[in-house]
Amino acid sequence: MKTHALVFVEMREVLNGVRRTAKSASLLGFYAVMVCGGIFISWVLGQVASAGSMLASVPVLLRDYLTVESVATVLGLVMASSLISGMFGSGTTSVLRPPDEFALMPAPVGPHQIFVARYARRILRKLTIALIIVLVLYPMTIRTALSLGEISLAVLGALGLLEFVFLLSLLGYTLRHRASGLGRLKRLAVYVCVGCIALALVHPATNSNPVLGLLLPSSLISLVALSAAGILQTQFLWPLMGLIGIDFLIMFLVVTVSVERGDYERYIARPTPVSRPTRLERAVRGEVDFSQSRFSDPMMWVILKDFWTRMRSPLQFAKYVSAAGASVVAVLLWVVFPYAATRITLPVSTRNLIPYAFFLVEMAFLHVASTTSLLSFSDERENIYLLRVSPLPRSSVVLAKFVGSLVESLIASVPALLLLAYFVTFDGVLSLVVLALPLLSLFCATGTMIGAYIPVFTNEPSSPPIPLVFAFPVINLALGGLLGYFVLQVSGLLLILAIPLFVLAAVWFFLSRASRALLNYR
Amino acid sequence: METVDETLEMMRAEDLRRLAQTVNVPLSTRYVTVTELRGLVREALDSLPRPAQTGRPLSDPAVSVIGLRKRYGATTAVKSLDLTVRPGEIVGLVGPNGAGKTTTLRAIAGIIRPTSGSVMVNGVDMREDSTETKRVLGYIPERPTCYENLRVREYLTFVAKIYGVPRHIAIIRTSRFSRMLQLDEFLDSYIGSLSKGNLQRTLLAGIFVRPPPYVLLLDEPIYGLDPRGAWSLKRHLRHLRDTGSAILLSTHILEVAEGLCDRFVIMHEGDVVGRGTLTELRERFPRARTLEHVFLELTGGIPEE
Repeated sequence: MKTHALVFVEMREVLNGVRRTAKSASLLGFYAVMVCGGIFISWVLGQVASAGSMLASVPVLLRDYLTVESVATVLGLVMASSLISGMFGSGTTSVLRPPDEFALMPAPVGPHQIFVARYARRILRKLTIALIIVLVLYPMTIRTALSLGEISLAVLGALGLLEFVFLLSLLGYTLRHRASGLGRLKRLAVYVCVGCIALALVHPATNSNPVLGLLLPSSLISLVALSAAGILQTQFLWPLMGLIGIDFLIMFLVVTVSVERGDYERYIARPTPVSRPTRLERAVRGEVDFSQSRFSDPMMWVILKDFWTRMRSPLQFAKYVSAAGASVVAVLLWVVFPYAATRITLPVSTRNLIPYAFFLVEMAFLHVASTTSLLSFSDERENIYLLRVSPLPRSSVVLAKFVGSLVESLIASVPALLLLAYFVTFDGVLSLVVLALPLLSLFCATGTMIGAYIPVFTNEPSSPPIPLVFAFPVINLALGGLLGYFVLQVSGLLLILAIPLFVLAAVWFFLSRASRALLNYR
Repeated sequence: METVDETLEMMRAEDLRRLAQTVNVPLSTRYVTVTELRGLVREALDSLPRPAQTGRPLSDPAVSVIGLRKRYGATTAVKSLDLTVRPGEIVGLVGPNGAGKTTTLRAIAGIIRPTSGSVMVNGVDMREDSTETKRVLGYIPERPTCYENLRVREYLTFVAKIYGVPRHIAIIRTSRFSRMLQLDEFLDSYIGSLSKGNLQRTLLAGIFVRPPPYVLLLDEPIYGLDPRGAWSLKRHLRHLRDTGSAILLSTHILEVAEGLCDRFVIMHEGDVVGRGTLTELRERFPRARTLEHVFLELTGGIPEE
């Protein structure tokens, strides 16, 4: 009964979330942008797929290279790494939320009941997202040989794979914490067991074994995926899917019964970004005192604050170190050894597609790099109100977030792009690399705008609403595609004039929206 | 304390209709006046087995902490704490930031496990994770937060379900305590849209929707409440104490503690540095006139003017 009540209240929360969205015009707008933009991109991809002879031959090419064993090994590798990395993750505590501390942890409900309810909510959300993805991909099915059923199966398959990966990471976490209470020998035995499971998931011999292969999710999913893609012929698609369902149920039940009350304590004691400085962080913190900065512009202060706050995360520090390393290598390759490396050569028939492919990769790469702009406001968490009430013009706050993210994204992405351009080279490749600046300007402006809207819609900026997060890639892909079309189709003076004008107008528009969003904080 | 009849008198028409539906009042006419509906509901409630206004009395002591020690890595948050709270008393847990008050409350609530020592609530060791014991527990954390996509009424219904409160009792108690905590106009608001004071009221209403007696563990319960709300809450806490609840209250507001608590436990850096009634504590420090003076004496001395 209590589990039922818990599941019910989770569903109610989701439903209320939808209701609140439906009553909020701006949030609906973001949803509309997300879905319509997605449908547009799907339509474009459908057009490309129907026109390109190379894409039509993809399944034939794949048939020669993909085997059940190779796919199962790759999937097994993903699952094994999630099992092992899960041991060091947040595991089953990730389903807990701050209000649980007073509402559910001291209440007469078991931790497994909370887990079941939260997992039901997770599945509901995932299924809703899967439905939206199928809807978005529908225009692509019209222009290609793919059917809606195949697309749905593929999306569901990807969802299932992600859930297996998630449950395995939870299992890894549980095993680690259960083992920590055991003696040394027993603990070692548990770790050996984890290693054996990981090995079984990865090893081609187990995946190709007719009995073991039918037990392992990696091998079962690869069989179903290849059958659904028409690469493998089998009459047992549905029984195989049934076996995947049984595997999933077993995994879910194992994780559910292993959830324990110790998770509460681990959740409460989880480290916060500022609570446990490492030696490296302290070194960074100790050596740099940005309050000694000679800059007097408040915008620069906000940028410096963000920069040094982020630098206190080891991950960010590693990012800069790797960017510096990549810059050195890129400069060495381009300047000192311009023809030293063996560059990738592609068939003549596909050479006219290389600039398009390069541009698509560049766009995707820059989009990922610009995510920092999306987080620029949500990273502030509750402190966003400090900025909001500080005696700074709104435009300074927005510009600081924009410029800071742009510089950071450029540092993170340009060296890697230069490396890519070195290996996949063609005439005019550097002109496409130069496009990183206008593209990143656009992407960071959209990210800043969407980031600025996050505190408008939620009191918890650290967990932004889904449509806002999804609108980010959709807007970026659409704008980037438009810019790419100009560059690859138009030339001469028009191009030189059109790009800066287009970028400046779009950046101004997005930043002015962001500035307006600051007025509407909850 | 309000009786059921008094609550019915004060109930809004919509709540009354909801209650009528819950207790299966046969409504055969299209229109019914509030007075008629109230009469029908009263009849229906009378026909139901009269629920106990209060649950079973708490065991004595309601909270017993012996030698509680809690370590987080190299840091010891609480060092060998002994503490009892008896039914019918309010104990104030006071101390500066980082004294170990929140850790103590979390250990008593069963959220964290002590490194050593025992915590008994209502006669049951919290390590045994007794579901029955948890029925009497009410905990408000230091930083109030709640499920932002639920409406206040939905949250209160949810709590009632979790604690097994019959639906009609939950409606009556929701109406009573939402009025007491001036929350009635926000019952259909989303929790995410509430101010901090109203959020705190919602959490308190979530405890009071179940029948007493309670073992209440309150971390800064007055936080965010306006003077009227604070006054109502203090009055209700005294009422709960007088009817057999055991309350452990952690606060920085020493005036609140002084006016509300029967005994005090003063913590400093994980240790208990003073305990007793205000009179007993004053006797230890003749210079001290108020709890604030005692507190300052025990936690580093009264600063010179």
